[in-house]
Amino acid sequence: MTPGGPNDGPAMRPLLRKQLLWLSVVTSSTALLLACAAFVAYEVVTFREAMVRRLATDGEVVAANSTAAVLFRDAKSATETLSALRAERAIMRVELRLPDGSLLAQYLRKDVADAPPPSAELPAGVEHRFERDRLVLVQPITSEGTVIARLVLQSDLHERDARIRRYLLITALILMAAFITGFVLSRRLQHRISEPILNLVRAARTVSSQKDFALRVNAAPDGEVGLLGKTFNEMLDTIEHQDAELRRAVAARDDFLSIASHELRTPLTPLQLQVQKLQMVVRRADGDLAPRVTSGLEVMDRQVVRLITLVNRLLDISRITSDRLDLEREPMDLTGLVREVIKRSQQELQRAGCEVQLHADGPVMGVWDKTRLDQVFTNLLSNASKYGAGKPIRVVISQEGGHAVLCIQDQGIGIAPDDQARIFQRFERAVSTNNYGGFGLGLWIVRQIVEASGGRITVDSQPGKGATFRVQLPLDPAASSTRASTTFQEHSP
Amino acid sequence: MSSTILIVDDDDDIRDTLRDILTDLGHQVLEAANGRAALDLLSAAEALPDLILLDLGMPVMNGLEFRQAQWEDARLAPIPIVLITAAGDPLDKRRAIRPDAMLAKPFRFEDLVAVLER
Repeated sequence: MTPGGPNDGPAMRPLLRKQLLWLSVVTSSTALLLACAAFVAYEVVTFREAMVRRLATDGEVVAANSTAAVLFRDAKSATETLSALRAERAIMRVELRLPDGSLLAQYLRKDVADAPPPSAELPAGVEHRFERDRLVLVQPITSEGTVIARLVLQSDLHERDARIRRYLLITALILMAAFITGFVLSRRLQHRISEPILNLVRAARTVSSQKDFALRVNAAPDGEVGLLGKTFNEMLDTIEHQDAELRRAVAARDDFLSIASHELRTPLTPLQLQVQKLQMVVRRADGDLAPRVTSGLEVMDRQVVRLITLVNRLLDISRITSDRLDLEREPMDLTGLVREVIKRSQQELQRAGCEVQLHADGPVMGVWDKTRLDQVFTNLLSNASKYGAGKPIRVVISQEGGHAVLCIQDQGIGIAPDDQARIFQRFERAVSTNNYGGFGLGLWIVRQIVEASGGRITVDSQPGKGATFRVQLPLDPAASSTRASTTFQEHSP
Repeated sequence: MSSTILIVDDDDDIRDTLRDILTDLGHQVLEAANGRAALDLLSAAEALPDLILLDLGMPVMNGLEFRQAQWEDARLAPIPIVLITAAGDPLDKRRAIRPDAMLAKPFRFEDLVAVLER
């Protein structure tokens, strides 16, 4: 009934928002990265083609200009022609080789001085290849259809590398900008998706923790999330309706129980008194009729008492379930009460063949509801004689610290370990109703009374070896409040 | 020892039964079906009862109203009251009456005798 403090489960981590955020950022960044990669690759390929084309053009011009020098083996003139390529900053080295491989002339850019590169077998046609740090292009020089020499041009790749670096930088900048804008945008936009869902989550938590079935969420007008919200609300409608119905049914049951037990008790008063009166009348009248009538009236009297006990029990249930088990506390002596109950139950105990051995050092004073404790002990004693018929019952009263302890020990059929916790539940009993009668409510009521008095009841038993019920009660329950809610209302200052 | 006892209860059978028993025990018995009738009876009576057995829930005038009227009348105020309570009676009302003794319905013959002896 009472919410046990902050019971909200593990703290909710806003995972959904994070997931949505990363989903959009990662998706857009990946798409952009692929686009940039394609663009860069295309640019690099295009640029390489342009480089080759330019170098080939240079080669063609120089080849055309060098034809005469080659034919006349004029190295000086050839070298001059080659030097014209000085204007092209990228060209680092040009060689003019004769078909036998010997070098006729060469041009070296100023900063390139060292040994010639390993020029492997050169093909016959116009051919180019990219090496690690240079582009090598071979341009044949022909005269009347025959190759008279080969021009080998080498261009460095600085320009290409610079371009690639620039592209990479631009790509990185674009990606970074896209990442940041994507992050900011999706951070704002993901609310549209995550907020309704998070609302639902919050509502569901509130409903389950506070049992507030009147709660509704603001469902979005359309879409799956909106449908989810609507369905959630419809579900709550149903639950609220059923909850209200259930409450009404429980209230109606409690009312009925209360009225029924009250109404049932009213006729029992004159009935009981009349039976008793008749018993006295018959006892006084002498005659043959007297013995038979007396025994009949005795049965009637016992049955009326039994009926009253049953009706009282119904009333107790109605009080306990509606939290109206009001205790009327007053200073009293537990030992005195126990003696009283034993004396009153003498007839029942004799019929069961049980002798009660009471062990008590003297009065045990406490502030309790006398009628209720009477009920507790009467019930436990009655159980002991019912399940331990023919065997002695040992009752021990003692005081331990601020508590009174009352033990009732029988030597009856005992209670199996599995049943020991169950017997204090409502409508539960350890034995079959065929062998032993009763509602299965006695011990439940006993426990409710003991707990309302701030005490507790335990049982220790082995099947076949009897049972010991131990009731522990605080001497002054107001001082050691354990169940303060409905119990101590009248006694709180 | 004989005394006069006034029974105030709206249940005829309870009144009859109590009258039977009390008469058997040798007491004089007066009866009223509610608080109003009891007050009328008391104002007309020359000799006041020694004890009143008072029910709580009654039509016309209930036990608490009767008790309040009793306190206001100096002649009636000293008469001891035994409250006959039923299970459904609210605790605060029962306390407000401040009875000299209580009998919870359904009570036994011995309980009645024990209260009368006090």
